[in-house]
Amino acid sequence: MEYQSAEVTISELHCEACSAIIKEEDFFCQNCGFPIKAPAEERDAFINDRNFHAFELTEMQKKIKNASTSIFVISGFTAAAAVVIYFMTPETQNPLALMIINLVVAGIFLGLGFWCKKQPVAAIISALCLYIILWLIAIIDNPLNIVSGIIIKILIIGYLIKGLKSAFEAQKIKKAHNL
Amino acid sequence: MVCPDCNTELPDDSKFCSYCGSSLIIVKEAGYDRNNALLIAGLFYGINMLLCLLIKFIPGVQQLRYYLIFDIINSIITIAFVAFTFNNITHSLKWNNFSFKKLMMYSIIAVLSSLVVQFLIGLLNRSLFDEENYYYSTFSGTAFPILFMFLMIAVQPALIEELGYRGLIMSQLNRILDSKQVIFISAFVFALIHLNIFSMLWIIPFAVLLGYVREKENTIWYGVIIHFMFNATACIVEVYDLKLL
Repeated sequence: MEYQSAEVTISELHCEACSAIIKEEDFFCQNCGFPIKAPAEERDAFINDRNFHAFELTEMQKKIKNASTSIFVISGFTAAAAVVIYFMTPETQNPLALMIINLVVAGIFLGLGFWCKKQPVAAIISALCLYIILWLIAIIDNPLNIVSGIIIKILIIGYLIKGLKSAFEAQKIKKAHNL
Repeated sequence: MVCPDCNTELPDDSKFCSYCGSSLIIVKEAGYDRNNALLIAGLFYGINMLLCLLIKFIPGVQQLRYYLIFDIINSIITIAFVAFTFNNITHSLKWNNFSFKKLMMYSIIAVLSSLVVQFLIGLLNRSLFDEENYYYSTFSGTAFPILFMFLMIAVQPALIEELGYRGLIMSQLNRILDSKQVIFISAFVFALIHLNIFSMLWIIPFAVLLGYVREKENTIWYGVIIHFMFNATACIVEVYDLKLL
């Protein structure tokens, strides 16, 4: 008895640069633009370039992480302040309301900190606006608040702005090279 | 889809043209655009925020005559910014494809959400602050209190805030960011303007709705109607509550 087993292998081609599936007739990878049929030097140059951009991205992710950490720090401080305020405010000034207000603010920053992973630009811009406005309101309430904790405030705002710049850059690189 | 450079037919989800290698992804901002857009939006927002801080926190200023001055200055500044950036904003000021059906649908959504929000705010105010807040008291000394209340609480904010936030700020941010981000950022900063942490909880979703409608319908005008109906419902409920009519 003869067994005839016909094996039909469909070999899938994968892009060297990004592993996406490519077709025999393609000249460029539709996922990352890799020049499939170019001479070796061009292909190598493309891959080096792509690796470099991937490396740039990881550097930027670090700055973005610093920004999201700052946002979590703000949230933590505000939550702690909420509890302190509750015990230190005289009954006549509605300590419960003050505490809840601070907890809501802490909650908003917490949300923004998590949102930073997904949409860093939106989250950091929002956090910056909220933080600065809270600072302005504190100053209006008591002008001495300009200086209270100013070093930490400047540090935090610095991390946020650096993170924002990196987030913009990262967005551009991701888009341009589909990384 | 078709490659804009070499006209090859391509699958819709392609990121690069498989024939000529051109990028198909729209990358929005150049360095100049980003700084310029952020500057314009930031400046407008900063001035707006400054005025709001003044009107809210300076003692003695919480009276009708100052609210009127505040409204007038705000309106002039908003219109000035819109005029200076007219190119960026002009498409959203048109109202192509007016649909009465949509108008009705959005109006109903506005009225219903207004009633829900008012109920919740009333609960919050009574339980946490033990107080009621009424707009009417500001206008009671005037010749036509209910009319003025509608003009200043429903008409003016609907026009000017939509022009400023869904018009100016969103147009500027649209130069450098994607839709989703633009909608969220404009909603968040719009909520901040009201300088009340609890109001942020309902204003953010409301402003996301307004931003979404502006993007989807490519015009600010449905948003103006929604905003107007929302605020007007609040006025009507108050008039009812205080048994003024």
